[in-house]
Amino acid sequence: MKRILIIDDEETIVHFLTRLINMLRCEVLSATDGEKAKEVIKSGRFDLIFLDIRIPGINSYELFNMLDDETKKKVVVFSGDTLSPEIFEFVKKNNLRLLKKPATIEEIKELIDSI
Amino acid sequence: MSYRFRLHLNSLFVRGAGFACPIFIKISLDRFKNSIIIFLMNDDYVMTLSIANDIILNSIKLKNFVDSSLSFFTAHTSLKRGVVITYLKNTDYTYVYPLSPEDKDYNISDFHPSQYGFEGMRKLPYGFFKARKDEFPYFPFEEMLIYSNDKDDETGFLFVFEIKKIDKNKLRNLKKFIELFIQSYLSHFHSETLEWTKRIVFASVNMLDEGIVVIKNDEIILRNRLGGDIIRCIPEILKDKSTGERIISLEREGKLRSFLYKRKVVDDTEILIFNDITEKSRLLNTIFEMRKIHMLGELTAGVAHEINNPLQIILGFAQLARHKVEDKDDELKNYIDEIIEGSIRVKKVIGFLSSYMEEPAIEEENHFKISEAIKIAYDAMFSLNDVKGITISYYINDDFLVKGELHKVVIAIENLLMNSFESIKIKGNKGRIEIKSYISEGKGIVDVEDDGIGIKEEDKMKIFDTFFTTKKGGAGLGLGIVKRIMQIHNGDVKLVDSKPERTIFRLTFPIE
Repeated sequence: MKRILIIDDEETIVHFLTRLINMLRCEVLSATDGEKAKEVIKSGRFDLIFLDIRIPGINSYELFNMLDDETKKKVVVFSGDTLSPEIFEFVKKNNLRLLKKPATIEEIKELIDSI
Repeated sequence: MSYRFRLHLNSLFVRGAGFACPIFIKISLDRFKNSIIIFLMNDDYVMTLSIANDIILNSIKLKNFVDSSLSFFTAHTSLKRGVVITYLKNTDYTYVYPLSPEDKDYNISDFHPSQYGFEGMRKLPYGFFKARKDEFPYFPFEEMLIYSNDKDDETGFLFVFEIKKIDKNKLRNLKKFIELFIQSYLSHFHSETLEWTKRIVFASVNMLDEGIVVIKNDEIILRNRLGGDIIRCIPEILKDKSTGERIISLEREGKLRSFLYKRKVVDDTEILIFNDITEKSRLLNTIFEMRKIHMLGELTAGVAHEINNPLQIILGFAQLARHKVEDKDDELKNYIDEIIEGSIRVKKVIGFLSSYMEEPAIEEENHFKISEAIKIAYDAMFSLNDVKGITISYYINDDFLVKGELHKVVIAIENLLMNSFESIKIKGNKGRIEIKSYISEGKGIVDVEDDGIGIKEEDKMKIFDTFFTTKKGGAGLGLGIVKRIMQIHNGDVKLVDSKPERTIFRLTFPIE
């Protein structure tokens, strides 16, 4: 069973993704701030990590830098702020996948199916 | 003999020193009193000088000078490019020492390099000598012949530099080179009395490729860049004897085009200047269009995050609800479909507006010259703002190809120019903005420099952040957008210098 982590401070979005991913028969965990996310990541390996950029506490860039190389590869930036130069730089520099909000169920499914 | 030597260095021509240069001098005669005039000659040099002889210098009694320099040039037809530095001491231009061309059989072996090094330069010989580049730290050329008419005369001097091979990397040092050269030269004679009153300014002449007609005694004596169809209209045009500018429509090669027309009268000479603005008007329209899209792009960048998050919630849950309803309730299903459809429409609109600021269509292999972007941004500054009191100039020291989208790079340069412009306005409406393009360490560079209020130390770290602004009513998007545009062109923007007298933003582009 695929194990997926959602890091997003918008609880409603976490709620939505959790429901959807459950429907796709994957295990899903979530965190709404950087500290919690750090704890959850320690709990084991993930096949996919949805990472929002603007989160309270340890920010997403710091959090990302704490990850080991293997975990870094699992990160998909999930953000609505697609025009921000910082995010662009972050995605490009680390060669990450970017899923733009709002994403349709089909787009999210496709992403999860691809892992 | 010692006398006070006050030097006003008013203009240094680096471009367009062809036909228009002497006309420009004539029009702006006052600016050139007590000036060092520097011509960067191209293949048109004979034309330039003969025109100068005919219409300009004759009337200001410099015929001797021109006659002899012309014969000098014609005697040395191998001179394809060069720099002529002329110092005209007397304000009425009556006395300038004529060149004597008979020294053409110079002997290079007579030249002793150590004698003419930049430091403590000695009196130059009368005639030619060959200079070696390692003797001149700012030497912009691989090889150079210097011709000097020095006779220790107080009336003026002329140097001719023959440029054989231009070292492009050093061309931007030309200004410094000439400044040092002249300073060093003069200080030899008048070290205690030299007053350096004005820095050399690079100016460009006839950048707009204007068509020019010169009329003397009702007869056209010269014309440039204008075909017979326009020339035939001149009697009609001249029925209106007003000076100043107006826009006229004329047929050119079978097509009606718009010209910005100016008539100037200098002594007994009439100068008509035709500036074909057909493309420019089109360009301005394009710029306006670009600005509209750009503003939408900025607006979207500002609100995208605020819209996209709630939109995700609406779209996501609507799709989940739709899944749950399946075919159980047709009416509810229709309602939900409407919500989904509506959300997807908003998503598309935001996506469309954002796409402007996203990756350029690199696969289309769009290339453009950086000079093109600079010229458009430069023209736009004049067309869209009141730039009175502000000197804006650009120097294409090196031109290079940029891969990406022209209009975005124009916007980036324009945003920097606008910041400079506003910074000068705050300071008090007087100042200068300079745009320079050059190549350094394998990168294409565009510097935008101004002498506005500068950027405060505490603000330096924040200026590229979206929403950061120090301007009243500013949205704080300008530099963020510049950064974004540079990113999608695989380049960068940096603040390299910021003092109140000198703020430089640097755009860096990769070059192939």
